[in-house]
Amino acid sequence: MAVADAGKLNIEEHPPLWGSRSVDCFEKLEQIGEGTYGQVYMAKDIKTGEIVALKKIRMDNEKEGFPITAIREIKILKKLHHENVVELKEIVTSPGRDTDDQGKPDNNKYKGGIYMVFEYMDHDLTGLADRPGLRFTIPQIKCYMRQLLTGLHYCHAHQILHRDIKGSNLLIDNEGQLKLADFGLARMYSQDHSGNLTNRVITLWYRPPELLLGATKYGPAIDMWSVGCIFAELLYAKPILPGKNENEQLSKIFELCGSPDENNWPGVTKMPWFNNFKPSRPLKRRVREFFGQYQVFDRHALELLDKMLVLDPSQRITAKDALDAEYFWTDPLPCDPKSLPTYEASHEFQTKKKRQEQRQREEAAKRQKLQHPHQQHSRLPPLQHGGQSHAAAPHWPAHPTNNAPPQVPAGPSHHYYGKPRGPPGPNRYPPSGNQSRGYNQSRGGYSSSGSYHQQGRGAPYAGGGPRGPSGGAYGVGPPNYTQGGQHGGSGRGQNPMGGSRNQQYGWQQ
Amino acid sequence: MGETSWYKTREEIEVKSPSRVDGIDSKQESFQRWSYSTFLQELGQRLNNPQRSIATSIVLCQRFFTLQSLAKNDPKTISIICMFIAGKVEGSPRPVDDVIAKGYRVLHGKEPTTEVCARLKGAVLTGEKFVLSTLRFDLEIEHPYEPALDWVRRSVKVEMDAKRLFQAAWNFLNDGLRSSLCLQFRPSQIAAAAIYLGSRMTNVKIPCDGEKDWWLEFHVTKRQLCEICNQTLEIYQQDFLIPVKHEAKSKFGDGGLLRPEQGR
Repeated sequence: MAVADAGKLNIEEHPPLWGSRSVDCFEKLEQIGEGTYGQVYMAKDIKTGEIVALKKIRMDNEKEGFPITAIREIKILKKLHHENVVELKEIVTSPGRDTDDQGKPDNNKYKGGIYMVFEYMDHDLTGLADRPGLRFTIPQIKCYMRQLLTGLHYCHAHQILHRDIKGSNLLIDNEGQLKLADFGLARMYSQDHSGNLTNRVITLWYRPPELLLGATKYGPAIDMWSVGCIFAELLYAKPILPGKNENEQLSKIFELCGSPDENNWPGVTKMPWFNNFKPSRPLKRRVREFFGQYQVFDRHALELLDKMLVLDPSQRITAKDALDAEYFWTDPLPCDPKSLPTYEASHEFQTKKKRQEQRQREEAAKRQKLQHPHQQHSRLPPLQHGGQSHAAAPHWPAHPTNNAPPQVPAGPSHHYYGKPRGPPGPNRYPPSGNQSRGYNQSRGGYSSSGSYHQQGRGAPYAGGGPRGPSGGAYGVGPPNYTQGGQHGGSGRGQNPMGGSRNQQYGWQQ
Repeated sequence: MGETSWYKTREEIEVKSPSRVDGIDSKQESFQRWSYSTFLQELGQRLNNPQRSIATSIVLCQRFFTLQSLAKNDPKTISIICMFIAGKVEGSPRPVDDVIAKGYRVLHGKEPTTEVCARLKGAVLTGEKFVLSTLRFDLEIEHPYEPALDWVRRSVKVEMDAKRLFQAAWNFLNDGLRSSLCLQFRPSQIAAAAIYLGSRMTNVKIPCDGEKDWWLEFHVTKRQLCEICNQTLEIYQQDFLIPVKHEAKSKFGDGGLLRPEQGR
C-alpha cells in the first residue's frame, strides 16, 4: 500500500482507536456550571458508577484551533498529583461529525467535542461562604487555609504558578477536602524569575501590588498575596480589597498596607508604572491595626496575615513558611477535614426553585436593610472556637448566639470548576470588562488588546487578559511566551557532518 | 491520569508498526520519518521557532505514527499539524495560517492559492483534535538538549572546548531526530551518546573522575550507549540519501515532492 494521499486523515475510526475514550462512556447527569472555556457537567462513569465532572473544552470561536490555554492546563494538570490539587482523570472525546447542508458528513468540520474528566467536588469556597446562614468556624478556616497552603506549596515546589487563586477556584468536597482548581492561567516559572511573564493575571481583588505596578518578572509570591486576601476574607466575612479597576485596587492596597517606598520595597520606584500610581501622600501600614479591631483576628492570625500581605514580594511569606506559622499550631487547632459538616450539594438545576424562593427572601431582606444600613453583606462572620460565638466584631450585626452546627439551607452557592457567568449577588464581583483600557494602553506593545475577548469570567481581567488565545494574541507575541533560550542561537545550522542546513529532505521540491 | 509509556524497542517499531500492517515496509517508513523530520526542521526554522519547539513537533509526529498508519494518514498534513500543536505546547504559538502557508512553500516551493489555504486549514484544524487525542494529550515532551548542555557546562572546564563539544553534540542531537531514537531511548540517554560522538568528532576529551564511568549519571548502560551511537550514525548512511530520483518518483508517486540529497 502506498503512503496516504495529500490531505488524507484517518479520522473515521473513532475512539478508542483515537487513543482516548469516548464521552459516551459517561452518562451526563446535569449541567453544573459554566467553565472558562466550556460547560461543566456532573456525570457518571457507566462502567464504574463513579461520579465525575466533565468539563467541555469550548472550541467555537477558536480560530486557532484547540485553545492554548487548554493545552497549558492539561500539561500542568498531568504533572500534578496531590490531594489538594484537583485531579484530571482523563480526557475523552465525543464522536460526532458535523454534517453539511445536505446532511453529508463535512470533512472540514469535525466538531467532535473534547472533555476533561475531573474528580467530582461538591462546592467551591466562595459558593460555600456565600450560603445564606452559613458560618465557618475558626478550626474550619484553619483547616481550609492549611490545605490551600499545602496544595499551593506543592505547585510552587513543582515550579508552577497558579495565577488565579480565589475562592471560586478552591473546590471543596463533602469530606472537607480542599483542592486547587482551574489551572487555565497557570504556568511554569523558572527559579531565577528570568522569564518575561504577563502581569495581566489574577482576578483583580486578589492581584498583588507588583503585578498592578507592571512587573513581568515574578514568582510564587504572587499567589501568596491572593492567599492572604482569601485568608482575611474568610475571617472578615467579605472581600477585603474590592477594587473596581486597577487604579482603585492599588489605592485600596496602599490604604491598607501603606505606601511603597525604597525602604519597605527596594526597587519599587523603578517599577514600570510606579509613577502613574504613586500615592500623593505617604500612607501608614495598618494591616494589624485594622483587622486587630475584630476578635476573630487573634494574635497569630494577625501575625500570619501581616506576613502575607507584604508589599515587597521578596519579603512576602512563602507557602512553606506559612504552614509553619504559629497560627496553625495553636488553639483552636485546625480541625480534621473529615469532621467538617457536610453540606447538601446544590447545583443550579436542582435548586432553581429553591433559589427563586431564596431570592424573594433576599429582596425582603434588602428592603429591611434600607432601614438598617449597617447591614452591608450577607455573609456571616466566623464562629469563634469551634462553634462558640463570642462578641461579634464591632460593625457586625449582633447574631443570636448559636451553638448548633451551621444551618445549611440549600443555597444557590455553586459555581463549579469554572466561573459564574455573572455575579450571583449584588457587588459580589466588580463590574467586568475592559473599563481599564485606557490605562492599559500606557503599556505599549502589549496593548493591542482589542482582539482579546473575555470568556465568561466573573471578575475582570485587565483588558480581557490572556484568556483568549485567538486573534491578536498570536501575532503580538505576548510577553509570557518566553522564546528561544539557551539552545537557540548561532549553532543551529553548522553541522560537522553536513547536517541540518545542507541536507535536503525527501519532500522538498 | 495514568501514563502509558511511549517507549518501544527497535523491533517493535520496525516489525509491528501500523504502517507495516498496511503493507508499507520498514525502509519506506524510515524514509518517511526522515522526510517529515527534515521537513519539520526546515519549517520550524522558517517559522522562527525555538529548536525545542521544532524537536517537540518531530517527537509528536513520530509518536503519532507508532499508533497510526502512513497508508491512512498523509504525513505532510500530520507533520504540519504537529508543528502547529508543538508551537502551542512549547509556548511559542504560530498562527495556523502562517504554519500552513510556510509549510506549503517549503513543500512546493510556491505560494498556496486562497483555495488551497482554506482546504489545508480545514484539514489542520480538523486533524488537530485527532492528533491530540491519538497522542493521548501527553504533551510534556522532554528533550536531550538540557541534560547535554548541563553536563558539558559542569564537566568541561576549558570554555572553548565546552563550546566546541556542545556544538558538535547539539548537531548530533538535531540530526538524531530523523531516526527513531526518540521512540526507543530517554532524552538523557540520547544526550550521553551525542556527547560521546561529539567528543570523538572534536577531540575534546571527556573528563573522567576516577572510577565512576561518566555516562552513569545519564542512566544509560554502555551497551545502550553503543546502540544509540550506531543508530545515530546510520542516519548518515541511509541509502535513500543516494540519488535515486527516478526510482523514488515511481515509488512514492508524488512526483516533484521528492528530491534526494544531491551528490551523495
